[in-house]
Amino acid sequence: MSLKIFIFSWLAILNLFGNNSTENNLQINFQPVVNNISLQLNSKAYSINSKDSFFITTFKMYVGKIVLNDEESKEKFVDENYHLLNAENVESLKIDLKNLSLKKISSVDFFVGVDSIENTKGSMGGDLDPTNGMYWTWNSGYINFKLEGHSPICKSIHHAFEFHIGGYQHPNNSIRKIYLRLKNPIIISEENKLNININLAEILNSVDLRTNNNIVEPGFEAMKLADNFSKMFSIAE
Amino acid sequence: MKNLQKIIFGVFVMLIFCVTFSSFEKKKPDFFVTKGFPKPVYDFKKNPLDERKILLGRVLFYDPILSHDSTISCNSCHSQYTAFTHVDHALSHGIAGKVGNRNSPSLMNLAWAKSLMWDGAINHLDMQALAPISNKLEMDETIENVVKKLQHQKFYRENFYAAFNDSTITGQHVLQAIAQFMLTLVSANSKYDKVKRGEEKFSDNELSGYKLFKKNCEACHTEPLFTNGMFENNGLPVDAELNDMGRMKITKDKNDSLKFKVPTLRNVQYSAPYMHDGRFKNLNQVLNFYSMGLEHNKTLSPILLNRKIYFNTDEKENLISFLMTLSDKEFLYDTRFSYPKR
Repeated sequence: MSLKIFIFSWLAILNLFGNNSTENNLQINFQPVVNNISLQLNSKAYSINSKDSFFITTFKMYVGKIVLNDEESKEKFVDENYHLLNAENVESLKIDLKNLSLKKISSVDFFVGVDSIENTKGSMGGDLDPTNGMYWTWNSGYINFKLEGHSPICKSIHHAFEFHIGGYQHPNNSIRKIYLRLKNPIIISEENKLNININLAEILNSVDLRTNNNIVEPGFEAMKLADNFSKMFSIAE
Repeated sequence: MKNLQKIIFGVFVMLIFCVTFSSFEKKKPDFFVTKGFPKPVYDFKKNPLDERKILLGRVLFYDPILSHDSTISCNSCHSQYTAFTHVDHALSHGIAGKVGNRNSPSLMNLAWAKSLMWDGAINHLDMQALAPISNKLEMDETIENVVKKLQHQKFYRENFYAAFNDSTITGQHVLQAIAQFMLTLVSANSKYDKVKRGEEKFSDNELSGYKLFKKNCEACHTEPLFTNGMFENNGLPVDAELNDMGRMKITKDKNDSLKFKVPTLRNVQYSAPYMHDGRFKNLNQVLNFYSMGLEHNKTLSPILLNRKIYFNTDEKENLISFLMTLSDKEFLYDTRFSYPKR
């Protein structure tokens, strides 16, 4: 019994010392939504602009090179990694940034998509492994953004819509930089959270779903759709 | 008891023999850059060659497990004896006898390839295997499912662990292993190479052919790889049924219409039929086409636009005898590239 207490007290003391060097972390939580309602895969949703319903069955997207800025002190925190967000997997929507060097975050920027350097490096692992269903096999390159579903208004087989947006080569480089300013800057403490909404209705409203419901290769149409990426994002205050 | 001692002694003697002989046998390097070859394009630092990975890639290359119904392997359309292409078929055929859209290219010296496929669709050797695996007319499978199937086999779990120190098989490791095997397919020991090294001499016919080659073909089929790795329209009339626009499919640029990657001429004697759709059965037909079949359309290679190519019967013969000096028998019969024992 006394041995247990002895070990326990030592552990407690060690723990106190350990706490002296605190680590500041941030969890970014991406929240796919349809307007104000959180996304439910395979269930009926409506967009604001029309009475038409739609179902989203797949939503995946690459987010990379997240930069946290303190615009006052011009300090930055850069995360060079690429993260695959997948609506099917809640854990994938949470990105943990550890050991922040900043005291305050007033804005955040990141890329939607995988840049041309990563696209030409060859076979990669983790979130960039080609088994994630986000790599084109007939024309090398990552799919930056994948949104699939169906809507009665689509004049297509099974009323399906399919948006596989990618392409890294000029003039069809579909990667887009997103910049978000925080109305209320985060003063960094030990554990911090930042919620970012991704409103998929913005993408569906940006095309005429009746006829323009299938963009699955790099090119002009993909570029036009990618230009709407920035409209999707907002800080959830 | 005496018998057992004899057996043990015998085994011992055999072992000593084996060890001595294997150390005498000079091992060929897995990859080498012959004098005169440029620096490889492939970045070996990101996927350093390793014997276990090469062997694993070789086993995968010959295993039909890569296809949906386990009938088609890479070897089905890329057999070693024909410089790793599909002999006798203009358009290569894949799963369930389905016929593909193009003639399978030969495989060699891939460490120097800037892009792969006739239209350059694939930007890196690592990613190449994904294309035939996923093509509905070739293997009709997904890399996700390939990984699952491999994970089920003890043999692959063990060998992936041996090669990558990880028994959880990933898409990245499958692709890296196959790429490693393909990188070892170096062909640089043809008669042409030996002549260049001063070990052999061209015959009179071969030498005349070499001169004709230098004058007429070298601009695109550049030495020593015998391709400039570029996309060119060689004036081949479009096949109305296939309607293959080549590079334009990838770049969406009209200026790339009807352009295809210049194929290497190494081992060309064995890689028939010729052109992206395999329309020519033999080299004579190819030379006849360059002599009088060119179609002058908008994107025709400026190299061809500015020169008159014509080969008479003797010239054709000489040119073909030169092209045959590009055959590398050692490569075609190298047991390191053949069907592996598992």
